[in-house]
Amino acid sequence: MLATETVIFVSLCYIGLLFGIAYYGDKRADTGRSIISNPYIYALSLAVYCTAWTFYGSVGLAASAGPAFLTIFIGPTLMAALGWLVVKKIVRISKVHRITSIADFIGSRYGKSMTLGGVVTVIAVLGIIPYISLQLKAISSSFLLIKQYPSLAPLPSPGAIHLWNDTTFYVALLLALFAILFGTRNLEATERHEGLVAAIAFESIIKLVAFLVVGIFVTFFLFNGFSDIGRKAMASVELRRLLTLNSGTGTYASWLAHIFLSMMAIIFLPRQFQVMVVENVNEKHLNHAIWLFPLYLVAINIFVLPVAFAGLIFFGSKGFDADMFLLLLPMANQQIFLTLLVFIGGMSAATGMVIVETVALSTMICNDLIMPVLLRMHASKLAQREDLSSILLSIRRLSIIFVLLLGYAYFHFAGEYYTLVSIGLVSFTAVAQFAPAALIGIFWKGGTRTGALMGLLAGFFVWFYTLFLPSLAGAGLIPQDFLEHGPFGITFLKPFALFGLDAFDHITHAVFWSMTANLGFYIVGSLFSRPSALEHSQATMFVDVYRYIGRVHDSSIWRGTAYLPDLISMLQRFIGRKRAEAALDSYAMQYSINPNESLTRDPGLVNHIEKLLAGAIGSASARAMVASVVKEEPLGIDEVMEILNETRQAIVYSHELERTTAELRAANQRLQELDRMKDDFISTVSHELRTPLTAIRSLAEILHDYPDTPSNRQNEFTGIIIKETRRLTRLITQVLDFQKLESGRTEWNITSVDMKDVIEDAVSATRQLVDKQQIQMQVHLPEKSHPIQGDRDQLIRAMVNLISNAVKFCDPDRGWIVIQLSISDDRAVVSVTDNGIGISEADQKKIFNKFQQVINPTLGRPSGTGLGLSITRQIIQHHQGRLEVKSTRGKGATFNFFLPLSNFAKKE
Amino acid sequence: MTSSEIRGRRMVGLFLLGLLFFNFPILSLFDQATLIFGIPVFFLYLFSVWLLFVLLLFVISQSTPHTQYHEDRR
Repeated sequence: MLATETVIFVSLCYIGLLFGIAYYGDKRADTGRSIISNPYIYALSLAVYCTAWTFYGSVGLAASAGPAFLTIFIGPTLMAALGWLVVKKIVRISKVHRITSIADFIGSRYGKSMTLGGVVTVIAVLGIIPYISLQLKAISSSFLLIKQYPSLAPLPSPGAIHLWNDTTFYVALLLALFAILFGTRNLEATERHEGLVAAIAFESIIKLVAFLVVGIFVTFFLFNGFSDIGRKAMASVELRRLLTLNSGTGTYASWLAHIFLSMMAIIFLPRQFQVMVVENVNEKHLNHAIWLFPLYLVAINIFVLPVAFAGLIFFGSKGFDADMFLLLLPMANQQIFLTLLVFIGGMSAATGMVIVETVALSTMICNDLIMPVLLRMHASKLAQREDLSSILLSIRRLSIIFVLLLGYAYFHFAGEYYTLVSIGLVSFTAVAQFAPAALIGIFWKGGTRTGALMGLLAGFFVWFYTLFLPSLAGAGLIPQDFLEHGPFGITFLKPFALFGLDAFDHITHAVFWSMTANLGFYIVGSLFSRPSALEHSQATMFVDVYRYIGRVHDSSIWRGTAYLPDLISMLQRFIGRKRAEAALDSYAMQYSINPNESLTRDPGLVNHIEKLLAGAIGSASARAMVASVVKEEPLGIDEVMEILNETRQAIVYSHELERTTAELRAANQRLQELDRMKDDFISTVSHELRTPLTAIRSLAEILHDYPDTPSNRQNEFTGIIIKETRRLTRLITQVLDFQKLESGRTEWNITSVDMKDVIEDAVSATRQLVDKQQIQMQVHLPEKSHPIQGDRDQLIRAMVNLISNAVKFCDPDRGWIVIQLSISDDRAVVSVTDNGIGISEADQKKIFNKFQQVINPTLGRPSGTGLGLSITRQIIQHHQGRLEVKSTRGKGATFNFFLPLSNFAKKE
Repeated sequence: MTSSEIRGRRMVGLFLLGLLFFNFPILSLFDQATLIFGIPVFFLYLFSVWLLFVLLLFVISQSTPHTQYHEDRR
């Protein structure tokens, strides 16, 4: 016999223990030595996902539909893989913007919209109420069952019980009390609850242990292991059915739909958002939670099927509630200890969910529903109140009671209509409506407030129509006729077969239509509306959150005048004097402002204060609150111009960057070209040097080795040696000259020079060379002298180069060269024409480049360094002149150069 | 590319793999009422894939991908 007193006593001891842990956790947090700051506690706190639905309901579902119960856990496992991308980003955004709930998150993303935050809150509250009622049902059923121990009589229907005799009602009140004590215990209205998280993590351990222990008891003590249960199940026609999905029409569709729902639920259920995002201490904990949490899910599901089958085999068709098999099996086997353990485990699962969920919802109701309304109506009155945190706490406490009472009401009136599991799925479908606005919103800047609002409302309406209303109809609150024939007899609009779609089960049907409506309206609405400036900047800061790290404070699109003491006293009233001072001090430290100097009311500081407030009352309310104190002025023309100017400068800067990049690229190419040319040069020069050197060396060796060579031979050899050494000298001089010219180290000896003399000197210098080749050379010079300013020696060299170049390429048999000096208006024109092989057009462009040589197709590589013309051009250019070539291939070439006459000559 | 980005990509790959193995049509291959070692084959499959998935989550989340590019040296 198990006395009611014993059960209550054990329960109270357990609750007391939880309080102890929570108290310890909070105390440690105050001293800065957090106990929840490790990945294992974090992962365990995520397991608040596993509610009484998991604990009792999975067995019930497995006993009626086989493997389908697993979808609810496979979804979160899959989502864990995406957690790296999605959850990490959400956590980072929430930390940067001090987001406190999913309503705050969505509202903040779309321009700190109060309307959106409010809509999300309403959807969340309505969506979660069935889910809370489910927990109430689980706790009260298990309590009523265990009270009858060891008798196994079925329970009466809840609708039949009067309110004051209904255990569930008292359970609801008790849970409200727990939630208030856990979640709103402190006077400080902050959103982090370290003690609460510690207690939740502890509850996760308890429910897992309880399930595993009973699972082992059932599997290995009542039966002979997994295979025993498996074989017995195979033997029964009823149970064989449960081993498969019974693939019929839409089975896989609902499988996929359930996986999708649970994927969304793991992020967007208010309690999941609370523990995963708001209570996250360190982003790095995600690294471990990503695999620890799915592992927990695997562990808690291993014994679900064995227990379900064991229950079915054990109780046969005696009409027991399969949802309670986990409790009934130990009871039927007179295991007092195990029975109590299961009861406590189930209570852990249910209380954990209810506490966190109501705390999260109360934050949303307070920050996103009530505060905005209060602020709008009584902003000035509120601002004068001394202590606002007590108001916040009262609102939250009342919200918790309100939510739980709604949950109870739903349970009392409509809870019978759906089974445990489908009640949970109704809630999941509701929170899945947040997915488009939140998930797409953090990756796509184009989503606008209008789009998000339209999508949410459309999805919510479809959910309400296809799932929530039918549950009320099923409970008899509205006519049953509505379900069977549609509203006003329009069968086309039947809530379970909207537009005639009846291929799916109710949940899949609702998921399909609500997500279609939601996504469709979100995207269309976003594409056809224009975001405001604030929406635009919030969108950028959300999507590019990793890029704006540490720079969030400098939002330049703000202008206003504020009386600083007003701002600070407002902050103090909301978050307490001590915390406000600490926060402002750390702000001063961060931006290295001397704390003794008063903080200036720059936009950065106002922004910071708004963020601090957002942590307590949500971003939309914080914005409204700051706006009530700060006299925000519309942007003046000056500010607009300044912003435009900044933008323009940024654009100019980026253009400059582009240009510099292009220049650098060109320079780099040029360098590579030069490098290649240098290589060519070295190989040419060394080749040129080696030829005479080889000749000199071999002749010298002959002379050395054979002293008795005939003297005429000796003379011949030494003659060649002398000639070759001259050539070498010439070559080296040329290279050195060129080097000098290139580097600009040549000394120019500028005097008045007569071009006639220059040409005559050059001709006589090359006479020998020309005669040797038997080339006819004609020189046409004007009679009058024409002085120019220049370096005589260098000009002679230029002429010599041109003449010897002409000689080199002259017709070998009947060569001729014509040199002409003529004077036009203000310049002297010198031309050197030969009748050689000519230069092709392509080569004409290259011959003046250093080291470039025209390859003679018949003679092969020409002699010389390829520097001659380059040197010549350098000299001419130094005299402000121009050197050009006219030629046709095979018909000789004419080199012209133009030199400006000196001023003196022009005057003459 | 940072190591976090590399890990992110691997995770997305894993997610797609999971989506494949936890869904129609691969699922239908195992959807039959037979036992292997006394365990229903459908559940054996689901739990094996599930555990493997968690193992891969562990491996990827704890790996430290090399972020430096291998330079070609001539």
